[in-house]
Amino acid sequence: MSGEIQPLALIGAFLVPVAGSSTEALIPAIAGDRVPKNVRGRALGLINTAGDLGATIGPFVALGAIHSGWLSLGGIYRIGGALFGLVALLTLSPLVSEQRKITS
Amino acid sequence: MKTKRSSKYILNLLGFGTAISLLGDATLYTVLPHPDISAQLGITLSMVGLLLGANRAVRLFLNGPVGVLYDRMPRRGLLIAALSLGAGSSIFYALGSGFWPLLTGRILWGLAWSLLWVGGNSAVLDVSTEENRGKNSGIYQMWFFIGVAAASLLGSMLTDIFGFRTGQWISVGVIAATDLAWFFLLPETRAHNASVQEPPNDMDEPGNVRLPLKAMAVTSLTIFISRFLAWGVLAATAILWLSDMFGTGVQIASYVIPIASFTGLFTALSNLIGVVSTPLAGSISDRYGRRWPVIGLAMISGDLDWG
Repeated sequence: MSGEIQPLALIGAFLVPVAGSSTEALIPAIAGDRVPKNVRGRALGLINTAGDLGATIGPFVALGAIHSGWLSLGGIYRIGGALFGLVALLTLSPLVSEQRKITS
Repeated sequence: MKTKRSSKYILNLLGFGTAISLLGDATLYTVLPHPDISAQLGITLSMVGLLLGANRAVRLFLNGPVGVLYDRMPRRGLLIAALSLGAGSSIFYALGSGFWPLLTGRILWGLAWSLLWVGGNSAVLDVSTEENRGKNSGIYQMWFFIGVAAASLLGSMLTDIFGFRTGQWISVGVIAATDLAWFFLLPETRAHNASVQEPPNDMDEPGNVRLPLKAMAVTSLTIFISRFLAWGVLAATAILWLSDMFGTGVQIASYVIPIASFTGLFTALSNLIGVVSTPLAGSISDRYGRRWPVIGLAMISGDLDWG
């Protein structure tokens, strides 16, 4: 795997936390926009369950794929990039990006 | 007659308490993998991995019921109880020896965090309006990232100076003192913006109101992918790609930073980025009245690195 990851990735790696933390800030706000007040607790509970599931299985999937030889580190990151790209397409599509606040 | 507290006051009090609550948990992530500490607690290194993941695993089953609880009960009491449970979990770390007492502490912390995070975010939404919901949510997340960074540093310093168990007792004292502050200062938030007009179905019983499925599906998928990649894949593989790039250490002038410490530094800096980016993303989304495009652009920035 030596040399597969470029030094420029060190700078770029700080962009992943930007994406992650921005999502963390805005998803609860979207729940506030879209979910009636008296069921927001239920909505936040379910949304956080999805998030916790991702954080829990992430290390097992990544390290499992690397240690079993199924994917290289670069391969894992390329799939990660594809997933980020898919979510970007979804969130920028009119279907989602035009979702308005329930009170407007 | 009680004075109505400002949303800024409530937001920062909530955020500060949430950050403090992380003291015991963040210390474990920092010091438990050290062979001397794990030996002192009577556990093997393979048990360390299970213990550190246990709180997250129980949250998969607790977040949903906790959310329902917040829809039916006042926030204040549950939040104060959550901080008490957080202090209680650190008591298990301070006293416990062997796998099972420590696992009990981790499960207790899982419940505490589920109550804190779902309740804290619900309270933030209570005290926010359409105009500042993004910014307020960002500020609350900012406190979380401050908490992770500061608690990791403070917790490991306390361990170095006083030892693991005494350090945990200090954490118990600090969390309990914060809980006492919440008891006296934190108001109930459910009716904070009662004058703000809500949609008609807000008057219904929670059990009769259906969640908006499309919004729930997209938000859940987005946060799943985001945490899978940022907190799961990148965090777990950081030491691998940093080793790939720098070998066993990074030389700066005459000092060599070992790769494990350098990975810790990278993680700390990643959290500090969250301190800046979360209120910024929230404010931008408030200003333009759109949140999804901001998430989309943030995802593209993440994609630039990995793609």
